[in-house]
Amino acid sequence: MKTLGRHHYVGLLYISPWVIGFIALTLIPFISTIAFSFTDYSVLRPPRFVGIKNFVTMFAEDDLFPKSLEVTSIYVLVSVPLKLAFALLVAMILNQKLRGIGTYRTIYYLPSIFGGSVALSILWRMLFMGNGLVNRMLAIFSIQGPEWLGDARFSLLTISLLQVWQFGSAMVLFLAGLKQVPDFLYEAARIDGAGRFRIFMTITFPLITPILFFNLIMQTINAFQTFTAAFVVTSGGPLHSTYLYALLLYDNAFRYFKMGYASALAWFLFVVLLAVTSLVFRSSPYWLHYMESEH
Amino acid sequence: MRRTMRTRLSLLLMTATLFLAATMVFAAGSKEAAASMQAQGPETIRLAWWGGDARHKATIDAADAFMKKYPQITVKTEYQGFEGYYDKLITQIAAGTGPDAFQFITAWFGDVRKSPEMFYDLRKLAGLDLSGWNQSTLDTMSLDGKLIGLPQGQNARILVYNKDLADKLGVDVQKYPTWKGFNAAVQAARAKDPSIYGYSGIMDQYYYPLIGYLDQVSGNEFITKDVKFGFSEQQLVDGLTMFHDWFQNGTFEPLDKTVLLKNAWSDPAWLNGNVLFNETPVTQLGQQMKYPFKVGLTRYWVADGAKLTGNPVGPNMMFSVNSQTKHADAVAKLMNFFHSDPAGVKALELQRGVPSNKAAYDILVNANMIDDMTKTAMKIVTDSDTGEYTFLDPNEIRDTMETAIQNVGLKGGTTPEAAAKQFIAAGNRILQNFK
Repeated sequence: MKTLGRHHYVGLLYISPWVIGFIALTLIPFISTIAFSFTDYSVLRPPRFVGIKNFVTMFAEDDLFPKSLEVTSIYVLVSVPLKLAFALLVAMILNQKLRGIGTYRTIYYLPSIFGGSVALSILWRMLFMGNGLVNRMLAIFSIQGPEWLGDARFSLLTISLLQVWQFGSAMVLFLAGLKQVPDFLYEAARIDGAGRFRIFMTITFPLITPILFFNLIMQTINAFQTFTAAFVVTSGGPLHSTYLYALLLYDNAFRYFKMGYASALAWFLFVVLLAVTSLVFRSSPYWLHYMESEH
Repeated sequence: MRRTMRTRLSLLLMTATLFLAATMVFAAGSKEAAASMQAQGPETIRLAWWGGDARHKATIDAADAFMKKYPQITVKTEYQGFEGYYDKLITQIAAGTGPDAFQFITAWFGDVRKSPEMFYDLRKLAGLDLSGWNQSTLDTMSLDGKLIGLPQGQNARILVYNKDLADKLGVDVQKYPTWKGFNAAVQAARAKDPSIYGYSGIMDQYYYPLIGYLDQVSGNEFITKDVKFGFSEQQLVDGLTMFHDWFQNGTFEPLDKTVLLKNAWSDPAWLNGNVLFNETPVTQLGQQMKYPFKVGLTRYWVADGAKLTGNPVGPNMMFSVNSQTKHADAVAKLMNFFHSDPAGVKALELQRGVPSNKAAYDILVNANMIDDMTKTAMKIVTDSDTGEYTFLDPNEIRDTMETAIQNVGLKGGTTPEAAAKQFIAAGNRILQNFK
């Protein structure tokens, strides 16, 4: 039987802090929540087994469950495509050979550094309040802006814009992908008389589909789990118009002390993300092109 | 040979790192072991509360005065705003890292009534002086016969009005003590100046008046001791209809302008003097003295056919002690200091209301520290036929009621009948968890 060499043991030793942390802080909670999802658990008392009651509540009794699912789905369907479109557009602009291009790339990437920070969400709130900067600027042009955050017709769009604004990380990946497209393909196309749109659709876009595939999956997963923006900016309101799924989970776990139910909600989200990701993977043969397979 | 040396060096470094990490983890335990060995030496107790800046300063001053008197005890203060305090406290206590003493309110009894073991039975806390409270007041802070909190100040909610605006509009607020009378007065005022609103507030400040209305018309607490709603669906429909109509006609400021405000007194319309009424708990009256206009006080409006003419009055705030505390003696000394030592009582001022403890009350009266506004407020609220605080006030019920209010106050909502039906259905389901 082949035994591990000494250098293997050293390797294992080096990764042991991460392995211990993963087991203690990720794997054990991951498995525990499966068990908790079948219990009534308020953290103040030991868990009590209730079978599938939490899942029955989710699908048959809790009005906020379908509502938050609807809101989250709209949020994902609006913010992810918009974010990817902006990211690709800006990446194409930044792919030019211009003076100071490094500075422009930094400026466009800056919003992404703030991530889901509370400070950014507070700033967004101040911008879009009834008497915030956005409405004051609109007033200069004699336009009376709506209550962006207090009106259920606009609040979700306002939150979505915050997600779209942070396109920097997706943009950087698109930029890297654009740089991989060989120049000779563009030259050949131009010689053949192809216009910009034709070049984009037949050369650029197909060859960056691997990056698009990665960005689509990662941004979709992130969007489904968005919490800070909705919590800080609108607290899920008004009229639950921005009540994203992560907020429903948070309220049940930490404000209503229904950890069992919150665990069931978490597992449902996991299944949804698994399904969405599988769908993207299954569809990929129809639109994903790897350059190596072409040559 | 070189490879073996490098491998040995790597092993040595890795083992040293792991040893260091393990030492740091176990050092915390050792600190506790060392501390327990110094039973008679310096000890640290943790005190947590929520409030505004004024309450923070007063409580910190009181803690400093305590440490001066008892230099061997350190009080580590942990304070924040109301939002998130309860969630954090319960999570800490469940994890075994809760503070030794903490501020609490009776409205959270619903969540903890099945877990009274998290509280220290204060009747069994050696050295604690309970003589300043009467038995009935202590009973309000008991769960299953266990005294779980020391009652703080008398509290009630009261209406605050912009006196300068009322004088300018010629509105005599005392002449309109009923809800309908208030509406008529505001409409008359708006006929002269359409930019005026009668009332504005954050969601809390619509929630409390609505449940106050329901208490008045039903004669019961919002949620009774047998864990049922004390009002009927029709009474809720009537209340929500009134709110719906007043959001439409300007008696209430349009809800889309205030629905997301977090701070009760940050509404621009109120600060600019365009709103006649606001409301506040008596314990936060200090905030009302900071406006650029004069304020007056009056009691909540009375509903037609009301069985009660006022709103609940009584201590609903308490200091509780964590059953897991290892410093029971020190905590008892701290509580005695806050409630019967002149230095402690004076430092705390009225930041938790007019004290329900007689010794503390006498100290403040003798020091002329109960201001006229607070005396006026307490006289107003106690002169009416008041009810009891709701037995339960869980977050989930509060959120559901606030949704009902938003449904009748915002575009895209529902009718008062539909909103009431939704609330009753969801509310009854939620109350099942507390039975």
